[in-house]
Amino acid sequence: MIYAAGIDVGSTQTKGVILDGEKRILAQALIPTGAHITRAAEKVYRLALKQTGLKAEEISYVVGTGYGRYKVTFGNTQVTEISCHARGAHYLFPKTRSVLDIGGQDSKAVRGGSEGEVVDFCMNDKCAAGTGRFLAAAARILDIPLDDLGAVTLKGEEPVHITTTCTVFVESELISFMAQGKKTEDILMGMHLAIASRCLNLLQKVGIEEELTFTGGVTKNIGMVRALEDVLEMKINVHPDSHFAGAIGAALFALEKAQNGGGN
Amino acid sequence: MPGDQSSQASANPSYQGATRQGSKALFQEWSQEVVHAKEQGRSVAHCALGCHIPELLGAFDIVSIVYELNATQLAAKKLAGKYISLAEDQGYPLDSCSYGKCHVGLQQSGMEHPTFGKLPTPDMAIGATRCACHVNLAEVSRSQYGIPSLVVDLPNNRVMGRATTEEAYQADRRYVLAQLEAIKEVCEKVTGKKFDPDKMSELIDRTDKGALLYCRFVELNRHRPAPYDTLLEGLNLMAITNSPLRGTKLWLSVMENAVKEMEERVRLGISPVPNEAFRLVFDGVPCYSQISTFTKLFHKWNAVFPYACYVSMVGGFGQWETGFRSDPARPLESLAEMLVANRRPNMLDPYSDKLYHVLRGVEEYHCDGVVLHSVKSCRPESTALADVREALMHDHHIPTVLLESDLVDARYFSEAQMKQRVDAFLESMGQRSERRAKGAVS
Repeated sequence: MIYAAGIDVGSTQTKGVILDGEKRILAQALIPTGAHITRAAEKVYRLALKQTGLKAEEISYVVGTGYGRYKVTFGNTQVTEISCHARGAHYLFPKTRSVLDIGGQDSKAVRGGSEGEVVDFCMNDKCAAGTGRFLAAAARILDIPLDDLGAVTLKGEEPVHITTTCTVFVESELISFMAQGKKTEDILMGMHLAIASRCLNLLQKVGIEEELTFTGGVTKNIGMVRALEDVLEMKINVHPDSHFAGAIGAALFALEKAQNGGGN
Repeated sequence: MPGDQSSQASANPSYQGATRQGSKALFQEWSQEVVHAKEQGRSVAHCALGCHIPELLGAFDIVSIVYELNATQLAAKKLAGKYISLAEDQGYPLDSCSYGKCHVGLQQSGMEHPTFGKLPTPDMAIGATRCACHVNLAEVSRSQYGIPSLVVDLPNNRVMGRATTEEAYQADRRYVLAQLEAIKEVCEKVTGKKFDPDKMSELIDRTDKGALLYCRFVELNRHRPAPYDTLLEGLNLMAITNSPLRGTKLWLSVMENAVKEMEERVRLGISPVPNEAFRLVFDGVPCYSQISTFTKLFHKWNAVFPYACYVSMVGGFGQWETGFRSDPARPLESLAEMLVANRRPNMLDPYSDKLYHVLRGVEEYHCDGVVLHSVKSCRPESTALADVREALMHDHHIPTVLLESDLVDARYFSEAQMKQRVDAFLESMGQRSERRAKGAVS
């Protein structure tokens, strides 16, 4: 049996996935990336291997993806997360034609083809507006655990209008709303809608085609899912493994390479 | 190694590096002339590239300092940051033209050029209406040095061969000629010399010959593999064609050797990448401060730029590609005609203008994709790019990516983020090629 692995080293989290030759997910692991990128990649790989009981030498091919993909020193090659998220989203929802990935420090809109290949893509500007970092800044200012952000957001009924798109300047705007006595959930809903609007811009640049699959770490935030559906006026695909889409895509590329005779 | 030409170049080439060396030699010669201009009794002019007239100035032995050439040279040597900061300290905003800020900063520093030494005080300044910055720079020179400044109004929205008539062309020609006559008079006052038509004729004659060589140089990149990357050697050529020494004997010999270098490369099969995989058209103003890093991101994928619309536009000799010739017997008229016929950005219809030239590049230079580069500090030059991208992707089905940084200001260039976009773009082009090979896409 052929086995292949994908390691997605993101700015916030590092994910690892191992597939067998039938494209079945055998293991998936996730840890914070931290400052030592190579160490994070090695650790997540060890954790994934442990779940399968396989040894590293039994893995035919490893693909690194994400910002730290060149730090996956044990990997055979690297593929960008744009290609990997497109492939991973197609794996999770085969009718996917549009992909939105909101990661820790960037957002990407991808228009994909029938086999999960990239037709067109667009990324956010260099600033962190419209990314997970923007939400993390809000959680810190409002003193809410990041994991609770979505649930609190859903309670928002009168969302505030966030004008800034700057992660740095948004702090003063949030403090201003707090001083005005606005409810935390309304401030949060406003934040989420602001991000969703920026995502809409990104998606429109590549053209939105159904089905649209949401990937990346922010998929765990139910408030963001709701805000996106409100702004996009359409149902979006979210899978329990959506935050592993990049690593799944990387593992699929690895499997393809292995089946074509590449790797160990 | 991608980009390593050592193995290919071993077949006894004679002219390799001639373009680069020629560009360097020209600027060394110019720097000597400009630094010693005053002691040799020569006048100095500050000039905007939008109205590049070294043949007219040369007829008076005036040495010119070109605003944009200074800025691009400082950027290429990674020395522009200090001068941009000086201009920003003076109140220039973050997003105003970094060419302009670079020169303003240089003036603020007392024209202490980090490479050439102290540049002399100018005696006159020539701006152009090509963009607001070109006007502003001449005004800055005038106000700081109390010198005469002239702003040449070039009809911006006419394109030779398209959307214009013979009648309009003749009117434009007369209009620009009258302005050159006015500059001629100022030159006479500033230098105390009479206009020397014979000297200008000589310069115009050599410029005409050099322009034909330019066309040959550009055309050679239709060859597969492309003998050079337009973002490297093409920009070197652009620096040569826009040299203040244009029309001189040295200049013409540099042009001749540049063409010989590229002809030799074609003959020997020398290419900037070992196995040319992707041929790309580039449009937009390049990021001079990071051009080597930027180009390497593409070379890693065996991708080259055989054609850049910007080089064709700013190279200054695009009109020769469509049959234009100068007439040395009518030097001043010829220069006016050259300025009128030169391709400039069409500010009234930038979308159609850009799309036309990009599609021309794709077709004539056999390209597979397009890279558009938007610059933070020049919105007029970048505005239409999003629409061009949309049209290329959806109407013409040409893979296109829109990247953004700046022309001079290195603060806008993030290598990691640029690499991410370039890798993803070329990766998707690779996937497309694979699928095409399998017959999955037409």
